[in-house]
Amino acid sequence: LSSIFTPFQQADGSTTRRYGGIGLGLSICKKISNLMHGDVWAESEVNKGSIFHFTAWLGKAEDKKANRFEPVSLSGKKALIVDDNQSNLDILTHVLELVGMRVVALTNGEAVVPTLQKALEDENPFDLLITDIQMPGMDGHGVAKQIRDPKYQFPNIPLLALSSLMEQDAKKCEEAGFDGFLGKPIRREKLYTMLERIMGEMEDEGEKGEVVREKIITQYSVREEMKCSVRILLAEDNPVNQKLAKMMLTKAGYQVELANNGQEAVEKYTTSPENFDLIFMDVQMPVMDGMEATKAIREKGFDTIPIVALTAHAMNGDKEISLKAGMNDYITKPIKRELVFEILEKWVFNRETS
Amino acid sequence: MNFEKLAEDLGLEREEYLELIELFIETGMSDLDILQSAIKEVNAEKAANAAHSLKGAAGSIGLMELSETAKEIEEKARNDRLEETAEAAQALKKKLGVIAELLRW
Repeated sequence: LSSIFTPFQQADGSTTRRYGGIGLGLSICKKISNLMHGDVWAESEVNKGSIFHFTAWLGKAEDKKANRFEPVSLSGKKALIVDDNQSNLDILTHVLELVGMRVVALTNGEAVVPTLQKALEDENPFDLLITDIQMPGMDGHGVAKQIRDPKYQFPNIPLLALSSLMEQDAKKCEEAGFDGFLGKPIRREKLYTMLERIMGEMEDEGEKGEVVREKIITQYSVREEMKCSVRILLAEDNPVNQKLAKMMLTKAGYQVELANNGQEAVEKYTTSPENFDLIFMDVQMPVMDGMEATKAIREKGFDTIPIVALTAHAMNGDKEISLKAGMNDYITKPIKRELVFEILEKWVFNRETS
Repeated sequence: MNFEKLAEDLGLEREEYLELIELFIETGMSDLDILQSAIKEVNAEKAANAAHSLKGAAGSIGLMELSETAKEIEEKARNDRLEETAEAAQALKKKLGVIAELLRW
């Protein structure tokens, strides 16, 4: 039997054998297993069946849980912002103050280190520094290099670059010691997300007492990361539709949890509402339909979770009925990929918090 | 039937699509069994629901012709014309069988 692991050997070597192939598969398996310091073997009984075994030495994976995005509260955080353009400073100050942040504004890079030091001495340190890149005198890169210089006491302050230059600058900013990079013009929602993300990361490091600077966060990476942390509850009874929707969404990087009917959806959502960012709700389902399930969720006081109806007939007033039942939007079946992503864009990424 | 094209329309790999269509045949056959027995028992609601399920599943994986036929059956069942659906149900079963056969190749 062990001969089947030899290259170009078949259990049945005759030319009329039932199973084709040239006899390389198992020998490759053996090679791979051997390379991993293991082995392959088989037990077999003619006309009954075979059991194939393999062993291999594998390294333990780093414990990387489904990176759920855990924003820190921005309210009360103290930010130092630097830009040579006064109206940019005014706008940024306003935007940050909207979420309850405390803001100190500077118009030149040279003043940054003395300001940070003064705040540290006054025991009222800054939580964050946001700086423009292109400035006369000391530019943003200069500011970052100075801040990250070990001779000062703030190597860990979260540092965000704002620039009208394009993404290719991200690399340069990373080298200079920035944690995040945002292109202008700034969208408020994106800025908040990035700040929550950057400061959240820094707080974690603080707890562990180690400084590991992760890859710089760009608008793109924030987006991708948000996607992976977006969890969707999909209430749909048809197995084919379930599987299709799950394939589409997981391929695009989203996490999907299934519910087979409205009642399951209500249970799953209400027991852990913090786990979901959006619900796709089929309208027609057994046990409890989508309308009833939506009403039940809304009646329990969950009025912010976006619920999107999946409806089979757009014609006969399903749209109005679903909106009336408390849903936010609807998609007509058969679902189109582009439309699904558009809806996610609209209800998960572009929601204004104000 | 061009599986590559159908897969591409859904943004899926061919293999993924084949997985879906296998599942569709399995659940579709069971829907059809329910449909046919509902027609025999003259249970219009049960028939309509089975046809609805078929319509939705076929439509979402791009089998529009099947989906249309199932839709007609659903509508007839909901409009007291159940007796007119037996033939179409039988035809659907045949079509599903043909697809299952195609998959085997």
